[in-house]
Amino acid sequence: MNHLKMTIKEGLTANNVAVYQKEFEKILTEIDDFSELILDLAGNDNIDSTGVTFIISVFKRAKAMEKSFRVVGANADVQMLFKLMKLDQFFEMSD
Amino acid sequence: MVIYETTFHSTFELVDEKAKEALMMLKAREIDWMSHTLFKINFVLRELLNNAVEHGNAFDPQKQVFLRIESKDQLFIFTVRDEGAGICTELTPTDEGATEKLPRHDKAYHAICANETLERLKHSTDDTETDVDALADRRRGLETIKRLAFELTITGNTVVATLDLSKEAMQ
Repeated sequence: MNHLKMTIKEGLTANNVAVYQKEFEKILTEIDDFSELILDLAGNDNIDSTGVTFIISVFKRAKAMEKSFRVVGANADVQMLFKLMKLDQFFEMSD
Repeated sequence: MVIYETTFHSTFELVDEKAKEALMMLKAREIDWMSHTLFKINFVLRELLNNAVEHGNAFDPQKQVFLRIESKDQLFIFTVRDEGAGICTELTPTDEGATEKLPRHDKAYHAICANETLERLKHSTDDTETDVDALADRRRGLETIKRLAFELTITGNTVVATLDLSKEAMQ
């Protein structure tokens, strides 16, 4: 498999992150045959710093597994936030 | 003028619910909101409320979080108060050169912590200040609020974030 794509459909907020984290860990125990991990945030503009921390944890996990990582579907506001937090220097993001 | 006011128990689910209600009340105002301004408000509001639930009230569902949103001319003022010891107990251990500080609960300590926090936030606007590690697990929220052009005032366990809408148009 070339890439593994995870899509976040609900808000990337503190009340949802624990569920995302659990699902993410479950997927990684089942699937290892990929070279790139893609996080899709399409249609999602509801985000808080706990959500940002989740994305960082996914990035760190991908890096530890020697996989590439990028964020897609990020709208202009989300991209602005990531740049403000200087996360754009660590991984690629696009709309 | 008070736009929205509520008190709720300390859960992230209620933060989500109250933040959505607050945004609806703001959108209902006769203001030509820019989408990035509402995005910023949503982020900052959630940050303040999450901080109150997690670090202020330590997820104690019996402790409450108070939120008030009011407007004065072009200023939008977000006041969040919890029943905890204040956010200083989270922030100070990571300050450069600071030794470990244990949480305390007297009012004098609250005042000192609030002042320390404000001073740190003021100094962090200096170009010489080393940026907070972008991948660090802590301190990200308050630093980001500052970078989003909200003015912060912290007194004990009450945080007031003020957004000047007249400056938003220039961004």
